[in-house]
Amino acid sequence: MSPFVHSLRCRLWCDYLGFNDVKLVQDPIDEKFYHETWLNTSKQNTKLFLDVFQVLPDNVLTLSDIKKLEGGIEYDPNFMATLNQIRGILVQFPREFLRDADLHPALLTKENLLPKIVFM
Amino acid sequence: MPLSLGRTVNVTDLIGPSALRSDEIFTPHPEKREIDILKPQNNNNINNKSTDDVIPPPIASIPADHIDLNASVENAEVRKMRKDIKLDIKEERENIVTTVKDKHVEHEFTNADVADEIAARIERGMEKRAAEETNKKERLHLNNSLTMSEGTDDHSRSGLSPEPDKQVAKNNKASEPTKHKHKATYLTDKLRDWTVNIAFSRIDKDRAPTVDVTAEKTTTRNMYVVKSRSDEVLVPEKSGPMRAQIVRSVAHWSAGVPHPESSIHHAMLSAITNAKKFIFVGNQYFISSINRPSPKNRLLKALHRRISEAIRRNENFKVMVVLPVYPAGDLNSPTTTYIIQYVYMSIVRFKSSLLDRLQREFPLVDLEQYITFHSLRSWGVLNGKPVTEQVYVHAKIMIVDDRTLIVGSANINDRSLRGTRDSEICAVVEEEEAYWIESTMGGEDWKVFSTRSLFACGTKLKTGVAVRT
Repeated sequence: MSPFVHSLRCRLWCDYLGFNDVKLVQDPIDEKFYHETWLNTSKQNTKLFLDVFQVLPDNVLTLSDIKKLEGGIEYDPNFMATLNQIRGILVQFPREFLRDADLHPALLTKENLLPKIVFM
Repeated sequence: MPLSLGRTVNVTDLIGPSALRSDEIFTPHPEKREIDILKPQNNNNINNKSTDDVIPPPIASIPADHIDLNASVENAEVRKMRKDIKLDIKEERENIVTTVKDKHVEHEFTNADVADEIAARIERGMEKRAAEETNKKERLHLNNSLTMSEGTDDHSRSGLSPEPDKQVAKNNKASEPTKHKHKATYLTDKLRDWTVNIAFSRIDKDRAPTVDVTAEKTTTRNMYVVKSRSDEVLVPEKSGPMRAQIVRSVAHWSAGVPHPESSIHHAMLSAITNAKKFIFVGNQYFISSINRPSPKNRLLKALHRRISEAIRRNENFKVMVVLPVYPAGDLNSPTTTYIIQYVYMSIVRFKSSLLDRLQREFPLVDLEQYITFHSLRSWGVLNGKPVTEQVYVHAKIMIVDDRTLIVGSANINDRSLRGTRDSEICAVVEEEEAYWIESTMGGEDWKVFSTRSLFACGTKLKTGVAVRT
């Protein structure tokens, strides 16, 4: 493999996963790494974030819920203990984000009048 | 050797190339900076000797005390020369003062700081010159051994050091009898040199002069082998020459080209199609389609085809995609929700989305084995309360098999990839096979795994012109 591209990816992934050693992310498709490190970190982080913050894109299903993302919520007093378990910054892509919302712009907005292709 | 030899000394020689680097680009007449150090005292001398025969001494061999501006000299002309240099340094001073200001943002900078900077630059200039001298010798040696290559463009640095180049050209004459320097070539070489230097001076101003990047033409047109020597800022250890191709999305209205060019789209499709082990994508958008009339770009189709193939063959093949959850801006604005809708239309929850379609075609397969989507999120504590925000992925990067890198400004959407709309530029980077390192990928020895290079099937990259020569 190419050391330049390889080292770039390793550095990126170390940031994502909160590692200091590039050797830990050397083989991206190793089953053990992929499932136990990459996917597991991602899922675990998502769960921990949800435990503390409760409202995240993962459970914002309608447009009215978006306000909750910005507003204050009751925090778990032991949040520091939970947050310190989070490794890196990688989380799962929230598949259910705005699932029940009508994302099509309303009839009389300028976005509705423009051709769709403008936004693609 | 004293300075009183009939030679022209560039101010850059004394201050160091890096000092003038940014200035030179915008100065309309850089040659004005050249100071004739000593006009020949009697003309007979010059008539006897042709100027070409005078091989100027390499600047590195001049001891530092000879350019000491405080040294006492009696010669009136030399005194005048000193004055000139001081004047030039005065001009440079402004430049240096801004640099020093940057360094000492919080403190007040003093004259001593400026003096330190000048001294440091002179020292750095000397060091670099010495390094260049040895590098040039190496390159010359390399050129003679390589019959395939067209030869190094030594002129790329000639704006700063005309003398050593002449020397090299002289020695080169035996191997290259006809060497016509086209003006355009010269300019592009210079431009590239500047660009490289600017790029590195942005990374680390202090380290910039020590980075030595040389680009050499290969036999293939429009391609450059970028050689980098010993600097961890640029490349890690063991790294060798790399092939890089510039691809772009341009059209008549944006770049004046006769036909729209979407070579970024082609490069990405080609990279995905030829992927063997994994694909890592980090992008701000992910708007594409498998077979809907719009969006028109077919990245998703290529991904779908490659993953289906992997599932059918039961290959160990992975695709990791990192995206922001929602675009920057007001979440309530219709534009934002529209974009969210199109991103999800490409990924999940819609009949034509990638995951839904794959799940429909392979109901028994756990798709997590093959493709995962991620976003990034960080947290902090503000006023004793925990706060969180997504890490907004603004990078546009694609890494395939740890061998090919596509990085640039192109998002994955029709606006960036069609060519007729936004104008974008990307670089496709591949390291030469000889420099690949031993490693394993999914338990297999990955170095010997046979691969079809992206450039080997370069016909798929339609136009992608790097630098016109």
